[in-house]
Amino acid sequence: MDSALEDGESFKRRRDWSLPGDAAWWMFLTAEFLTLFAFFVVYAFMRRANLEEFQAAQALLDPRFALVNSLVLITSGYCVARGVRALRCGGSERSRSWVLAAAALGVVFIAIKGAEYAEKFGLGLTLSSGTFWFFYYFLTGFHFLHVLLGIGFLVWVGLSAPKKSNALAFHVQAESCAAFWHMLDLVWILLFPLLYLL
Amino acid sequence: MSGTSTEAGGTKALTATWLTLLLFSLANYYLAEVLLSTEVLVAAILTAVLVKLFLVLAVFMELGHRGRAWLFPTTSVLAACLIVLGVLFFR
Repeated sequence: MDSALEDGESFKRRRDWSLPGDAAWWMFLTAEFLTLFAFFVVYAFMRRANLEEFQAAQALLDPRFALVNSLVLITSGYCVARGVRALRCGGSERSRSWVLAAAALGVVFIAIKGAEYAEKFGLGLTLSSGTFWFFYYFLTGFHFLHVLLGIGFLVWVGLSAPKKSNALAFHVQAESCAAFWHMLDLVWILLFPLLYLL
Repeated sequence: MSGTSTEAGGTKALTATWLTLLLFSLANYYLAEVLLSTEVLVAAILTAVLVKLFLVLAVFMELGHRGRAWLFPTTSVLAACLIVLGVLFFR
């Protein structure tokens, strides 16, 4: 299927009427997001019940880490969107550059998050240090692991783009990977205020 | 954001969205760290978050096609959930 060239008219029709990426993949993304959303709701309830403990723990977080990571992840999302657009318009080399740039920004995100984790571990704050810290490590760790997976997807898309750019199946796969990356954007956009700002 | 538009045409919208997202992220931080904590502040932060969610969904994922319009109500539900969360738990 990878080698099947797409007819221009049907490709245009597909672009006008379908989701980006694979429909089954969207079900997976929705399930992932809803799972996290359930934890956000539980977090909100727990925060309400233990407000003083949560506020004291949140005071130990440095929002500047999260702010920089927000900017990095949003910029990587922009790069992915540009990469997908370049792919659709036939610019496979440009697509590769954009997608690999997004993957590189993902690595920057991981490095910053790793530095933040190291700082917290240095202060003796672990998963068992309290309710807030359980949620902090669980939610950000869940996101962290997904970012690692997403980087792998992006590297694969970026390296494959020049060879497979004419195959519809590859376009679907690339869009699916992009949707996964944007889901990570969405989750972080929620995590940033929930854990660090409010 | 049509799939049949040229790359150059679509990138302007993407770039504008990207810059807006950066701006709202900075606004989130500024509101929380510089301004005093008030109910208005919480509402402002949540509003900024909702705008960001909508922009990522609608523009980065390029959902503006007529065949994908059903995703906009989904976004609205998500937004409503966040508003409820904000009102109930962060006041």
